[in-house]
Amino acid sequence: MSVPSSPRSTGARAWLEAIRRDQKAMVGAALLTFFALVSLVGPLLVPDPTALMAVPLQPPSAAHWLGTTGQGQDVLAQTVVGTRISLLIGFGVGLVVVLVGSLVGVAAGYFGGRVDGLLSLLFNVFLVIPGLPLAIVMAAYLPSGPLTVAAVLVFTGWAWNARVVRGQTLALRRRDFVAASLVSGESSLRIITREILPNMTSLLVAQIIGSSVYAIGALVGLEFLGLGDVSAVTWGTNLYWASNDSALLTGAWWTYVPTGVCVALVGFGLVMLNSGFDEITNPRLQMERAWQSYLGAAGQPTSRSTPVVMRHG
Amino acid sequence: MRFILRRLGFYLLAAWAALTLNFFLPRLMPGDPASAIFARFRGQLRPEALQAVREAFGLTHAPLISQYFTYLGHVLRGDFGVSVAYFPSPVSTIIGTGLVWTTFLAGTAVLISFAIGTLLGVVAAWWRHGWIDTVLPPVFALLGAFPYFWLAMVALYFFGFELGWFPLGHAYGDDVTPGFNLAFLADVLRHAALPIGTVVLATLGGWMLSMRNTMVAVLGSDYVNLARAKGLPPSRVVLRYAARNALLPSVTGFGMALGFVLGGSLLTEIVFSYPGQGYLLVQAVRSQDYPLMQGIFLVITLAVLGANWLVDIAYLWLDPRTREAS
Amino acid sequence: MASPLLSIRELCVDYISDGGSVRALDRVSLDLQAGEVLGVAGESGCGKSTMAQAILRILPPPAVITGGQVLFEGRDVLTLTEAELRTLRWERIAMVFQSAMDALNPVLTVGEQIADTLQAHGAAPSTSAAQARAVELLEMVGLQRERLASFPHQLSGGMRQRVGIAIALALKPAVVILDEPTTALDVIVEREILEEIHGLQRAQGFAVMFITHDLNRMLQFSNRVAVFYAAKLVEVAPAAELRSAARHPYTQGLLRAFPSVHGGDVKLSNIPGTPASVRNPPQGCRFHPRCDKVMDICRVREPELTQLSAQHSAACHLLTS
Repeated sequence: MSVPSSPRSTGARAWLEAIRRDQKAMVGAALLTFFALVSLVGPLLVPDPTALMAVPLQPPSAAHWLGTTGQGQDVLAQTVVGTRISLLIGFGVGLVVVLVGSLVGVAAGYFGGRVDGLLSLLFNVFLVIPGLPLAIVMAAYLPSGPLTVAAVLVFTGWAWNARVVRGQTLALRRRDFVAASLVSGESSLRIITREILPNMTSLLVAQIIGSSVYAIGALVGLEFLGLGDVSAVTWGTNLYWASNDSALLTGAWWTYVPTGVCVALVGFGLVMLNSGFDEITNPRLQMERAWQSYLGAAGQPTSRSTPVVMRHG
Repeated sequence: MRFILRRLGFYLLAAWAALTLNFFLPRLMPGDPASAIFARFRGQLRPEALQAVREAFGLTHAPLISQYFTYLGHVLRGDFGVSVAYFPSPVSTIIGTGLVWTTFLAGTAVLISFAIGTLLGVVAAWWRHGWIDTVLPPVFALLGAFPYFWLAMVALYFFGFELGWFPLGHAYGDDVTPGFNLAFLADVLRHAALPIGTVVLATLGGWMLSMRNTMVAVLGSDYVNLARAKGLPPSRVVLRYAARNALLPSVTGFGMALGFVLGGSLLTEIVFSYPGQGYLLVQAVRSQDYPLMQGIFLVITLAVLGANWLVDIAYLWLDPRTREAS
Repeated sequence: MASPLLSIRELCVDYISDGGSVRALDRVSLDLQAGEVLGVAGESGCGKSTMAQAILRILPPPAVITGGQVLFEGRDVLTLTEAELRTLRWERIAMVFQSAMDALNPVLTVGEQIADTLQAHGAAPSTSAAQARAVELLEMVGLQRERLASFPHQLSGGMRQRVGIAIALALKPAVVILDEPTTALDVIVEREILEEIHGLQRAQGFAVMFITHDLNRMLQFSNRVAVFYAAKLVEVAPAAELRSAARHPYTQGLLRAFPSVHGGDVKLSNIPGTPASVRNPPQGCRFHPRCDKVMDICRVREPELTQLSAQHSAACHLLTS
């Protein structure tokens, strides 16, 4: 039954293969593609979200698929238009968080010594100070708007990534190929960019996805509090206006349910995608699956002890 | 013992960092916050009152360094200044009432969530690929992807508004007298059910997944293998050998996650008009009551730091390897 | 010859993976007599540890036992239920793991880990009885009774290995499997431990399966030695006979690479080439690419074990041509 395994392809094709092979990743990819499309073409297909066009607080109907807000605006239009900015800012913050965090993390892990001590202290302090209250206070002091919110989220969110990247850098730094490069006299910058960072690609991708999930959620939270630009149409401000217009107490669930569902689906999609990518970095999960199905085919329940499936003699 | 002291030192440093941040924030803002307050309360504040606010803020014309030390002095005495919106009530009084409710809400939610999540994680790892392991993680991943406060909104609508099972907000009703009587306590629990339930549902998945992953790794370790080989009953292998060890990284992560969960629970308070720190904070933001905002931030931070330190002490008790003095 | 205590017959173990399965043990047959010390030698990955863990059925996933029998005291271990296995494990067959450093639970004391073994098998009616027996065991392996309350991280590597031995002997098993018991220890400690085990074995009479890649140690302490290569048993003989009259080219190569300290001057050599891949073993005799006496038939057909004398057999075409 011994079949020689094909060499695993590397690079971008490996990612796509991983997605195709894993159900969860497929679901994630599908969700994200859907929302990407919505953010790209959606605004062209819906009426002006800020127009006061109908009777306020109408439940979903044929005229307004998701009903109207407390000010008579079309909820579907608001949700669709809000997708673009929310996703843009969310992913943008996620990316910048990883950029900043990785810079600090690699520096700490690579250079060690006092540099590490100082930087580690820095990000550990940031990690332990509760992020949302700090973000709220900072955003309140700065002029309201998307840039403020983005900056504040980066300021409160970079530390986790720094810690993770530092850990990975430390592990890689101890490996032989780095020692070999050091001995051959390569400059630190070259070692970092040519040896260490390329070996962290899967980690960085996972981090970007994770940071984006955090960013979108936190963004929506801050905007819900009114700290973003309340005149803009984003998911968070939609929720702000919904609660402002007492949607909760009048039972107008359609004013906030669609937005929440969108946020959750995007977050969920990203998490599913991440777990699919995990397969590449964690071959043990695949191996377990193969073992599971082998036993299943032989009609053996999984027991604690090594199973016996007679195939020979 | 040295471990505890070292951690305390770290938390003191973090507290100092938070204080300093708090000090510099208003000074980094474009414009002068005192003037902003003045403009806002145009005509409503007499010049003496404004001066009092300025001083409480530490925004005098003294050099920055002395302002800083004055500020530190105030804080260490528990004087967080005077609230603008609730003038002339001192910030510390206003925060005091809210603190109890937030501690109750967030504390209970976190403990319940951690306990149930960790337990589910152990079960999921032991019955690998069973239904708990395959169904629950994606379900909780989806639940956790919703913003906490949105779940709160939905819960409030569905269980409060539509079904009427739970009250629509606040910590207790008008018809009960506060105090240690049964009616009051029961009412408090009724009011707390939805908020706590929301936070628990949103955060359960995280604990479960992390515990399950750690358990899977531990179940493959040599000492668990030996425990099985020794013929120990499965319950002992799972609990005293596997779970006990897998708990350690979970507890380490607990402290950090605390701050994160607290943030979410603050937003939940807002939805339920729960009279805690979160509710106060958002009122402060809306009325630009900077002293109150900063006071709340400080108190929350100090509480989280304190809780983290307690977790570290608990870890000391859990992991014999950290107990080594020499 | 008396009937063996433990009889492994045609045992096959596969590791299942995404790209197909790997045969880690290929139709291995081996006997263990009561009270004897059987050494098992071979390079890493040749299957010796796999066999040891297969006997107790504690191989972790993705291992599956795919053929053969393991006969012990009239029963085939491969057919036992979980409950029956629990009476077999430790009460009759025990094991000392490689690197007992990691084989001890970091959060329990040494005493607790010895005691729970006793209590799990009903060998101690009360906690005080369990304590007393634990002290007995500790002193038996040369540790002080104060160590009962120590945690594993407070002990040195050698001490932890001794604890592992104490735990293994707690229920007075008939067979003790030592899987690379001293690999992670320094030479002096290694010798102490092995002499400790040897002494206990002589005193209590249990059979030992001693797995190690250090051929010299093995030859010193074993009655018989079995040599593995690439998932197959290639030679088995009494220790003295193996040293002086090994017949399989691989064994001969091993002996040349591990010259005895006491012997005369010997030219040090090693076996050319790299160990055969178990995933894709060579056709025919698995050793043929590295053998200096290779013949045509070796490239085509796998050799069977040939009985050379009452206790000596080897699998090599040289012996049948």
